[in-house]
Amino acid sequence: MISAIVGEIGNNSFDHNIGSWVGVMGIFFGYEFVEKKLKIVLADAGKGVFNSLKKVKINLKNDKDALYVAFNEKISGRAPESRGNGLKFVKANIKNTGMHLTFFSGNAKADFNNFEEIVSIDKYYQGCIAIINFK
Amino acid sequence: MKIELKKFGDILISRPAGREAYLAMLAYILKDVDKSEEIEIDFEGIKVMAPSWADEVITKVAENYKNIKLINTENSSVKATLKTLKEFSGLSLVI
Repeated sequence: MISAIVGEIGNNSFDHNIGSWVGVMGIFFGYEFVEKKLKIVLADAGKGVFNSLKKVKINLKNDKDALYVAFNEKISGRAPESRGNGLKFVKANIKNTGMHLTFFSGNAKADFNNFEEIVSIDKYYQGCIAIINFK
Repeated sequence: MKIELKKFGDILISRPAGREAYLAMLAYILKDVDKSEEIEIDFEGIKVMAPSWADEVITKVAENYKNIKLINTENSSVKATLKTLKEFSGLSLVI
């Protein structure tokens, strides 16, 4: 299940930035065990969730709204292709397996495990950073 | 007609890989198969499946063939993926 979740997040970076990378092409992937907990980090310097979605959902206002939509609505920045189920899968299975996901994009941060919190933050992250913690 | 997914690998992740698998499936497995024929999709041996890959394969097979049976779906990522496809891609197969 960890591989499926990580695969979905990593694949998104490539699918939504192909041909339009803002920064360095590709993703950073790293993992380590800290006190018997597995920590996985994926990061890209792409266009970020808001810039991916605002072309297909023009009333999107900011990074926070974009993260909410990405994790909760069936929508994809690559419309009219029929897709957009990956982050819903990620969210559902983070919750079901007791993992914790922190996801940054632009000026927004989302936290998921058995709760969901999406907030605006002061720091700006170009692209996306996903941090998964698993006991 | 049985489709053994393990012949496409045991870690089935990403849309590009799924699209390639489906195109190969169309050319070599599903070519000339009648739309009414039973298609058995066998998940035996799959270690990891993600919805991006499956959406390019399972959803498309299900759109074109109405008599589909899914077998050996016990793997947790397979179960979770099929659940996601039912909820977000309109997959209406009985699992």
